[in-house]
Amino acid sequence: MKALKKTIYLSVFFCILSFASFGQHSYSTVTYNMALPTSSLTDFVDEYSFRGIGLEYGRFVKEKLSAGISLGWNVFYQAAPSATYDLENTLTVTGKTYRYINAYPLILKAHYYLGEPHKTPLLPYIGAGIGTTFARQRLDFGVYSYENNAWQFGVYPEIGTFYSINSNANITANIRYNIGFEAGGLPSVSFIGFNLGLAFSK
Amino acid sequence: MKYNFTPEKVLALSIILFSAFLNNSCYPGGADNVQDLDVVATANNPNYNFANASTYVLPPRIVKITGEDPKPEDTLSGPSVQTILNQIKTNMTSYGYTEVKPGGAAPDLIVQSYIARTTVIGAYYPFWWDYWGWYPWGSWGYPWGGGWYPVGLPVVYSYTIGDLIITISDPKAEDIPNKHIGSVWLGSIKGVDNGTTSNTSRAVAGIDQAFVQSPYLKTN
Repeated sequence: MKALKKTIYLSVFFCILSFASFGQHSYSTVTYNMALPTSSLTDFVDEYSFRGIGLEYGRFVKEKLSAGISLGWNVFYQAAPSATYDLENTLTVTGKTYRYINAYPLILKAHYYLGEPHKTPLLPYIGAGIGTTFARQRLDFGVYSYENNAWQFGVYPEIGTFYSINSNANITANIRYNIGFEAGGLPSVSFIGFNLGLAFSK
Repeated sequence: MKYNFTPEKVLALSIILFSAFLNNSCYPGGADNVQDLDVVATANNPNYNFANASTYVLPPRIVKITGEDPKPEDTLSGPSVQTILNQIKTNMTSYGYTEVKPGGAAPDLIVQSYIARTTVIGAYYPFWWDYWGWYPWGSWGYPWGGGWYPVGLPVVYSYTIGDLIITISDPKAEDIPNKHIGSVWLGSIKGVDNGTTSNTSRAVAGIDQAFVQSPYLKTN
């Protein structure tokens, strides 16, 4: 976890530094993140997640192009009814399982805006990002817990919009496909994120 | 008073708040009651053909595994004992086995039950051999003569406090000099014993499940 925090701090720091020479316009967002598991993640949890938060900071590098960094936290949980599993050649177990995924996507991203930034209240965009998702998987079975953590390379296509409330406050909404690639003994942690929140710009 | 929410200020504040939560991942939900934690585990020797067996013996004691030198009083007491033993018999009968008592023909299988009062994980359990020194039927080999021995507890799984463990063993597969155990099946019903009535019903349900998930035990 220390490594994760260090990575986040350094990423934010260098991101801010690297954007300092570009234009004056910047934004930050705080969003409530929901998510729908997809791909092999559904083998572990397939219930919709209502637990999540996202932070993002970006700067405009061209009139219709911004670059930024995003950090998210999505929590997936599912209580599976009692079932029988053949774990090894001759070992069979039966019981309820409680399954958790805490996913932390860390994304370097860019938005291309389909409107005129700072001129129209509604500003839709398409976005793309690359980065990593730190995933903590936990399986509770009886009184036992099995945990597995992994960093997964990820790509993050996105569509979204900003809606201006006043000179520096906006409502923002986006749909992002978080595609994680299998790594560290964990299957692909992929999900479609539905994110809604506030954006502050200047 | 005018608030100036610049993106950088919002970002800095958000990161501080976010970092405060990062150390603690979120684990909502979970078990609502102790039954939700029940786990039944079974393992078998795939090379053993249960169809060749038809009789069994069930010692009338449930041995407590204490992690120390066993003593004669290390057996479970109370009404749950007979309930547990009867449920084992019911399942053995339904799978086509016949119980035999000491004094008759030697059984094909020995069914023994244990309650864990300590934790045993993935290592040779050093005291299992000693449990039979005080066995109520007398010395090893009694009453069926030399070459027949009761058997001990194999470690093919981990046991924790409160586990009910049932083993089925083939006495002919014993290798006494090498302390090899002839266990051919093991059922572990996790954490069901602390002496209450509700736990007895969980133990009974667990015994049934152990047999249900072991259809290879059937001889009929």
